[in-house]
Amino acid sequence: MAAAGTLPSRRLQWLAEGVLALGCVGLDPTWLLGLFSLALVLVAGLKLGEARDRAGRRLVALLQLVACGLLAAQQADLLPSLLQLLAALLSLAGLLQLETGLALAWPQLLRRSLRVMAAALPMALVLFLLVPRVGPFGNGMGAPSGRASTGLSDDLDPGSIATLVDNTSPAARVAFGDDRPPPAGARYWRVLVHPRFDGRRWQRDADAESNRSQPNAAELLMDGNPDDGSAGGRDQVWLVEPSRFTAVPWDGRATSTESNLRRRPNGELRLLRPAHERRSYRLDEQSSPQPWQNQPPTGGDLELPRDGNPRLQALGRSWAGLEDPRQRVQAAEAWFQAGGFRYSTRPGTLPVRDGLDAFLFERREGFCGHYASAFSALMRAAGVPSRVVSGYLGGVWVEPLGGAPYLELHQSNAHAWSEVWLGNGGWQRVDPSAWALDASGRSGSAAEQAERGAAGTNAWLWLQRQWWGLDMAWSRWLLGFDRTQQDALLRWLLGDQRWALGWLILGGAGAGLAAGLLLHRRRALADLDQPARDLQTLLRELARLQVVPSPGETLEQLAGRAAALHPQLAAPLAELVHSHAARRFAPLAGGGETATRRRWQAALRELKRCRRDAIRQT
Amino acid sequence: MRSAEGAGSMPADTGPDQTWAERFGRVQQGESLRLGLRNLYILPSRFGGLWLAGAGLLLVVGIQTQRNGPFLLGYLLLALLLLALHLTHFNLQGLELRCGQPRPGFAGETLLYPIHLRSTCPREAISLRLAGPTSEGGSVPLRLSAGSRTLGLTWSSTARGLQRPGPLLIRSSAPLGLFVCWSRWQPARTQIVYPARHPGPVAAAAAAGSPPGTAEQDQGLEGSDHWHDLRPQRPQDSQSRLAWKVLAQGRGRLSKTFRDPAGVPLLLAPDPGVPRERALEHLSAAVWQRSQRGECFGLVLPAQSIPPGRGREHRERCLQALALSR
Amino acid sequence: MAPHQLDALVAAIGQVLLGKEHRVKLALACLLAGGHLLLEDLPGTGKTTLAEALARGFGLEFRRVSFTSDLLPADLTGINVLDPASGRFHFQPGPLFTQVLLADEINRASPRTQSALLEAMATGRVSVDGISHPLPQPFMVIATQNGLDQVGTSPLPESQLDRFLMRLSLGFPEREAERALLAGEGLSLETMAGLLTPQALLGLRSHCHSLHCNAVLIDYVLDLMAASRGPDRSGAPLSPRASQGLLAAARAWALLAGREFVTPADVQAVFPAVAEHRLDPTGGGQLSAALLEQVDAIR
Repeated sequence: MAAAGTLPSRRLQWLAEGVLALGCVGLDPTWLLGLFSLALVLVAGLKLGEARDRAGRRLVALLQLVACGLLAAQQADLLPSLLQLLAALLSLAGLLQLETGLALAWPQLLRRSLRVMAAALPMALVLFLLVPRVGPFGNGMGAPSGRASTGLSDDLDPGSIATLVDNTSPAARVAFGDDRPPPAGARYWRVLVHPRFDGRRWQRDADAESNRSQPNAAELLMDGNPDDGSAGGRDQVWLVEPSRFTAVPWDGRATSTESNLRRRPNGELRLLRPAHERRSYRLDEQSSPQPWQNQPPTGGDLELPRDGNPRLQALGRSWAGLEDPRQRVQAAEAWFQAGGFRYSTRPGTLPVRDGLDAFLFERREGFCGHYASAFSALMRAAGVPSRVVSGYLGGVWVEPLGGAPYLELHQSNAHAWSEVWLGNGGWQRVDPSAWALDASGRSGSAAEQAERGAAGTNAWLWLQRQWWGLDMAWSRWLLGFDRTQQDALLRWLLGDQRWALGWLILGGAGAGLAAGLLLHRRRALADLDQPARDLQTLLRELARLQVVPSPGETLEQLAGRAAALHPQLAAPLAELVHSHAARRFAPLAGGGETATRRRWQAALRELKRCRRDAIRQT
Repeated sequence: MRSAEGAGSMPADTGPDQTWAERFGRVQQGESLRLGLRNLYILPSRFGGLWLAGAGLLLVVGIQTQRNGPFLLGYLLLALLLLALHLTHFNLQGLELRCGQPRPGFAGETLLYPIHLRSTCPREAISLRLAGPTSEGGSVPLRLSAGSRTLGLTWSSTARGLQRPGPLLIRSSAPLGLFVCWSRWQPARTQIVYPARHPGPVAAAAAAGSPPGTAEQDQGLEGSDHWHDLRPQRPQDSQSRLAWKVLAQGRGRLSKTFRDPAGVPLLLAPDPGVPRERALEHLSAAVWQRSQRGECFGLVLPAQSIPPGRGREHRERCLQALALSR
Repeated sequence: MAPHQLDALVAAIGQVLLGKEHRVKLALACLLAGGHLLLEDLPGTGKTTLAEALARGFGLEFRRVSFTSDLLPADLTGINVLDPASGRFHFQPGPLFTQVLLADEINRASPRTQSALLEAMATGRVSVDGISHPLPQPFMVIATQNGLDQVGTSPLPESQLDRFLMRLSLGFPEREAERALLAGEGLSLETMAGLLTPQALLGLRSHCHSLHCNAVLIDYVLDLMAASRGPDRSGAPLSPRASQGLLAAARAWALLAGREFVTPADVQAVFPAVAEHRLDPTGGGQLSAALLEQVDAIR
């Protein structure tokens, strides 16, 4: 037996391999899992090249399917997911082709592959939803590294920037559980915290990005506290574009059960994933203050270089006499508002020495970075612990035709503001840019305004947004279901009767399997054309009357026998036989099919009615 | 039995599954067989085990990364495994097999054993194989459409007479190759196997009781091929039969008559000098050869004799007598 | 135009040949399909009547030749005769040059004569001394063969049987039909004259040829052929000529039923007549019926 001779061509499996390779683009090879997936795809390719027998080719299909799963572990966005799905479909089709031989054409094979997958899906979903999840064993998998760019930077040095460049490329998207946007004033999305000031620059903690693969000892899991009671209930799903930071935007109040989200003591949120991939995570909105807000300041939060910016230091010290830190903040606000400050994206560079003095007392125009750093420095001079926070402000609320509405953040939404320690009030956000005149352009983007106006006319942008809407919906669905959600679902289904879970899974899986088989059988009929399907219906009807075709019998003879047994069926049967012959064997007449089908259906209804009558009589 | 050797020499992809299936499972008997729960056996294939391992790996990755993608795909693989269990079984369940009437063949040569398959739905990748040393043709997987179909399965027999092939193995691993489903059946009908054709000496018995001269005349039939005789012309005779030459010679109007020739009948008999089976094989070859040449011959066996004749039916009668000779 | 005229013709022949309507229709289908017919029956069962009725129904020229053992090919085809007046040979056509030829007891003739007839049937022309003469159109041979009287005959070889589209056996009439026959209720052949014209027959033939056979039906025919050639066939395999003939006959049957397309029922109706003599040249077995049972007709 020439096994190789009877094997189908490898083209389908090569195609699956190609799609997989495409899906590998953007994997992080420094991560163990990424390396492993790349190796798996490579091995599948090599094996496909050398496989001579059926067993080898089957193994290739399995390797490809497993590789799809590994890729899905790393890239969960819509486009990669679609690619993974396509690769899975193709490799399944390759497997089907191995078994069912050479005769089938590609479209038919793909359709069958889709059908088999659809049949397996109900059961897979039941298992997916109901089988209890366990947490990871140990800490095996995490490990990102970094590249890519962002509107944010480690060091905030506004004095060195003459003109703020408008970069309208997207930074992140967020969808909310109830599909309603947050109020405009609450759209502060914090990313980086800069507590260290050297007179010019505000810098992040030295260890902020130092250890990417492991969480620091001080970093904590974002324990969701279900007993809190104050839970907002609304969830946020974030999709973040590649950046240089593992720190990701959040609103500072949410919790999450994702194990690779870590909160730093200063309120940064780190996602332990490679920063250069698109990342996604889910947060639960909370209304109660989070622990980081009550984290007492360190000495570093008051540190101000002695030399430099003397006028600023003098002004700050003049407020130090005020007893309540809140009064010092209010004094600063009054001073800024009285000073005629203007917001500008083209302030020009500030002198290297005493730059903030030049901003506060001479130029009096600048963008958010100027205000935030000047205000924070003033507060430190006035004895109030303060720091600069950078992140995003605002965003465009997009409601695509399909998928979930979402808030779109651009790099031009990048913003900086201050945080001050108000004793028992904890860390509070103060945005000094709001005190400038011309506050409408406070987030620095005339460009965004223009873009907002152009959105309706820019078809490409519109299309992109539709796509992102779908992507958001997908991410929300895929990310939304985690252990907590599953717990909630199980609690809802079972209450306290946890012992029934096994039975529920068994029953559900059985039902899913039955549904799948039914679906598969139904779809198998769909391969036939309409008259053939109708003929099957008629044969089933006749079988109920115990009239089954004998070998070689024509439909006419079969119907004749049925009519002899049940004379009242003669008329509809004659009509059905006539109509079937016309549909099946007559030359195609344009548009005649719908009319004949209608006649067929009417006759079939009549037949069913007569049959019921006949059964009732007997 | 040589089946184990045969399976061993096959390519690796069918090897292990095939031997399993050939060893286990009760052999069904009878004229026909309807495949169902009682006579079908199903077991996971080796690939099914690998598949399960792959699904497990994906679930572990899902647990470690807490991502839903691998979970979903892992469960999908599991679901496909369970689905394939049923689909593979359905692929054979309900199929009806019935023996056809086998046509005779020669020992040592390929024999065709007909099997009618009847199915109410399309089926895919079914392989049928008769146990025995050479049965290659049947193991190519076969797609069946709804309706009936007749297959000729190949086998060969070394013995003459009424023979039955070894049990039929029907197996399928479609659609995914995760499970092997099979059944074994011993078709009831016997096939007439003629002795192998080995050219060799045969004895020729004398045609009984007819002196050579008269036999020649009696055997010829009135025909049109060979000129035979002249007779006086009758009015209704066609002009085209008129012997013009004779007329020209002035010997009167004579009509030509024609005859078809007849061969010398030969009665074949086993050569007493060789062993019996061997002699029958020689006869088998001789019968075949003479029939191919269109000669007229008869057959004399110890218990049976067949008068001279020619044609396909005569040949088959002779061969059958050889096959069933005791 | 076709159906009701044909119905009238079938009815008229049915009046002549009482109780044999199905076979009459088959014979008519054979004529419409452009095939030749072999009638195999006992003497006196109406073979000649059927042939003559068919010819008269279409107003065709009819001739009858009794085949005997000394009939020579030239007696059928005709010969070149020396014309004493002009001193040249001219062709004198034989009885073959007609539109419906009844070849009575064809198996009594020598194989050479038989093959001359069959060659003329296959090619539609006759060659004498190297000159080819076309036969008139339409041309149909209805040959009869006596089933019982086999002594001193040359049965048609299998290869020649294939040239007949159908083999029919008229059989004995039903009791009631024979009663009507005895009561003199049947019509005589003379009443049949001129129902249709030869031109109408040619028109019907071309119409018949254009009837629709769709892929599903062709598949059915092909399945039948495959079954006849399968490994457990009990008769001779059916040739491609048989499948062509089967389709042509099925078309004619559909035309007789007044339909514009062919269904498996049409194929089944003509199948025994078309296939039996090819499957089983010697005996009147049931091979064609067994074959029909092997192939699903509901489709």
